[in-house]
Amino acid sequence: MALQIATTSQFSNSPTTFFNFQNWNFNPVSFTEIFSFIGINTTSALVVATQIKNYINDPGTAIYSEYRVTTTVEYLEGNVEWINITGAISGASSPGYLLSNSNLLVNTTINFQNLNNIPSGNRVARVLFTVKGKLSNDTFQTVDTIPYFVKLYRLGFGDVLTSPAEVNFFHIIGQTLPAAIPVTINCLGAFNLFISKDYYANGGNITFAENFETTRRFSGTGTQTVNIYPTISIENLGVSNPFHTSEFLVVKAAGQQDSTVVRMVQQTTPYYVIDETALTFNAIKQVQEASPQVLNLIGIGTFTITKPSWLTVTPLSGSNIQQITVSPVSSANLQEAVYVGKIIIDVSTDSKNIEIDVIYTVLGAINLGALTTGVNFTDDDSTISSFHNPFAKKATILIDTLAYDYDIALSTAHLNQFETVFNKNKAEFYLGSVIKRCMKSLKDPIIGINPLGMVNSLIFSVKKYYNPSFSKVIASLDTVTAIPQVLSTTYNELYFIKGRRPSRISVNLGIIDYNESAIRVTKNSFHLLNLYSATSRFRIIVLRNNQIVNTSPPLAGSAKLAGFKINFNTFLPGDIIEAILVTQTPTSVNGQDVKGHRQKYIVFPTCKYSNNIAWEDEHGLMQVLEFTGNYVFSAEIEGKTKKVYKNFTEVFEKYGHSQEVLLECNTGWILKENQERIDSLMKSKKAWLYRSNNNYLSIIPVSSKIVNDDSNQATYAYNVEFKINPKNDFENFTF
Amino acid sequence: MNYDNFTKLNLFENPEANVLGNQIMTNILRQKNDNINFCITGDVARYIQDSSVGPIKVISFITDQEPLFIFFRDILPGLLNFNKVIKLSNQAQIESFPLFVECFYTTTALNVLDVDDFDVQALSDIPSYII
Repeated sequence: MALQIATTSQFSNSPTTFFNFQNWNFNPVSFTEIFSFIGINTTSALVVATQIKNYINDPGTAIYSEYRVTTTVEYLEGNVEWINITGAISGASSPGYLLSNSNLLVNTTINFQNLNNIPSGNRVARVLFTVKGKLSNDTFQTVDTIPYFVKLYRLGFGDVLTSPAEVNFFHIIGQTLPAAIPVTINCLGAFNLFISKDYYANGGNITFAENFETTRRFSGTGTQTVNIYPTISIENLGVSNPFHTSEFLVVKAAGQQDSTVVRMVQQTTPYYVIDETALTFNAIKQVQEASPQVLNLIGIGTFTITKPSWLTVTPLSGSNIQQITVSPVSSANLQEAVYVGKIIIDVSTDSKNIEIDVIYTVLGAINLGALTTGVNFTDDDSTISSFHNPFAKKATILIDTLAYDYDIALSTAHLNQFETVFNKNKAEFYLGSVIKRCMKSLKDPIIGINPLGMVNSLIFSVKKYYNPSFSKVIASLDTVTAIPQVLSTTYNELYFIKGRRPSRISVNLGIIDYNESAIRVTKNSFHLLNLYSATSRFRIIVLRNNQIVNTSPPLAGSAKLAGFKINFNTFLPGDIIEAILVTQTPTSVNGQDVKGHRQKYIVFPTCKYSNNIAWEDEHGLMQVLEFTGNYVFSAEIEGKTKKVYKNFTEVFEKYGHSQEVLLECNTGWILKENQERIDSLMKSKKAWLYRSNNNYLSIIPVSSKIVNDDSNQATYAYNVEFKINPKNDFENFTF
Repeated sequence: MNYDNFTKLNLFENPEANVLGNQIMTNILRQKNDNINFCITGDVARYIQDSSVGPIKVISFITDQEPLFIFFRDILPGLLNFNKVIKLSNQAQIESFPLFVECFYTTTALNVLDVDDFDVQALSDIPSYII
């Protein structure tokens, strides 16, 4: 038996692999804050885990034979050197720390010195990691400079500082109260401590002083660590949403103060909540990386996280309140594409996982926009090509297009070259719009499908329109780097249909009609169901009131656009008809079980008049609507004369005439939602009024207005005015 | 000559997966006619050698030739129109239809066996983490 494929795909999880390209990363992140009291000369050294960017695997800097990193320190205020750096980078001899693929994670230790020369106040120092690349002539060129900031808070005699900045308690009502949490108070001299009456404090040298309405006061002296813990009265606050908050406030006599936030998550049974359910990241290779985003997971219990391989999630497990940092991997590790995945948080206290959808879009230097598989639509803004590069000055787009005629497979080749300049590392080009200009337009209506010649079959005379245009595109960028480069990408097969992408289309099969409203028809109507099909086999199924009444023979997709005529003369007023595109023969006669793209029709009673008007829609295909209201031709003929002299007398002489013939036609009752089809007609430059089989009038839509509105039935009637283009001066316009 | 053993021997139930395997092998063999340094690994190789694995989640390949690995990771996706590629130091992950494809690079010399006309990594050598 052949090997089966699981419904869910998954990659192997290698324990020894790492991303081919990593960017700079510091832990703790820059800017780090350091607190020290005046009068104290030392503070603990700060060890910074330093992930060095992998310049060796960075495609944008491949012109150097080796890379060296050095560190220097800059002070933003004063001239006291209050830090020095030790570690692998600073300890390397000149010309610096030599990078390889395996020595990119190092510790950088920031030691503090000379603090007795620094008065109270804030100071900032910048540790600069300078990367130099070795050129072919053995000289070094600066490639990158990355800063790491350290901020020193030098606290004065009157200052106070509590640490940590927040403490979190977790409690299930009715169970044992949580244990005490230590908080350090840094200060010189006496202080007062205020906490909520739902908590108590002990430890150090603090003593209880008094109770207020909602708080307790303790007093103490000097730097020390005290414990804070909740009392049973905390349960009176009930379930938290997501937490109850209070303060651990330390106040000095002179008024200086600092506080630690005290949070209590209190629930009757353990559960978790999350503050985001979807994350979106965007990166442009070599220009802009995606910034990390933070999820706040709040609740009681433990959790573990699974994630797509292109995301870094920290931490991957934990308990209770956690800030979860989500960072996409550097775009240099990924091909340009849209990556879609889920972060799944498996919480111990709930059988249902928390899922966060993640979309990571990676753009490259050249982003075509248009699809390279399936068809594109010329008026979609997704066909706008974008170019991103920090070193490019212009983008050149060479487009070789074959545009096809209607009905016959003749094509015209168009070869065009365009250039667009870069501004702020970016350039854009509307590919779809340019290709649309190469494509043909419908000159004449399809003939031979007039309802006067209608037969009883439901479906289907077929009419071919045009083949989607076929283009080859070469996009290239000229860069102005030390060694100029031309980045180029070739796209060999791009197919375009005019207009906007309709929703009723899959990769190989669809209804090419952006407007999706049900269509009002009568027994005298016919409709052209316009399709694109590139699938090997499909059928059209007709439903009458949800029961299958007709199934076409299997039709072969030819990657072309075609209109399938549907007649309605066998149906009755009130019938709801649906045409459905299917790739497999349905097994049930019940229409609701049939899966496929659908077009709905509602059959109205026939009227005194029936005029089928066709027009070219945004896709360059023919749309038809039966006008069942009255119509009026109005012709105005104006003779053109000039003055001439005959026998010394001024007389008029006619030298021609001008003629304007208008047609005003009422739609009859149509569905309210058919407004979009009237709009389509009005925006069309070409329309035709069928007069008899193979005979039509060329008309131009001029204006439309609603003349009747039946709000109970949700139906409208429009008067539409057309100008008539006569075939010759002597044509008579009556029926 | 193009490689088509996946289809000829009907390895996968889904014919699209067999075509995918053929395409990859054809392009790899064009890089190096002697295919001894590139072979199937993971559950697919386990299946070919003892038929005891269930539905697979990924087609895994392995090579001990760095140029072949770099070709797979950096060039092949463009040739086969794969646009979702995750590039790791010793693993290339390709999100493709109808299933994922991956290739590992190992510095340990491969022991490649010919089983039923497929080049596979010897069962005892397949790392347990490769599914």
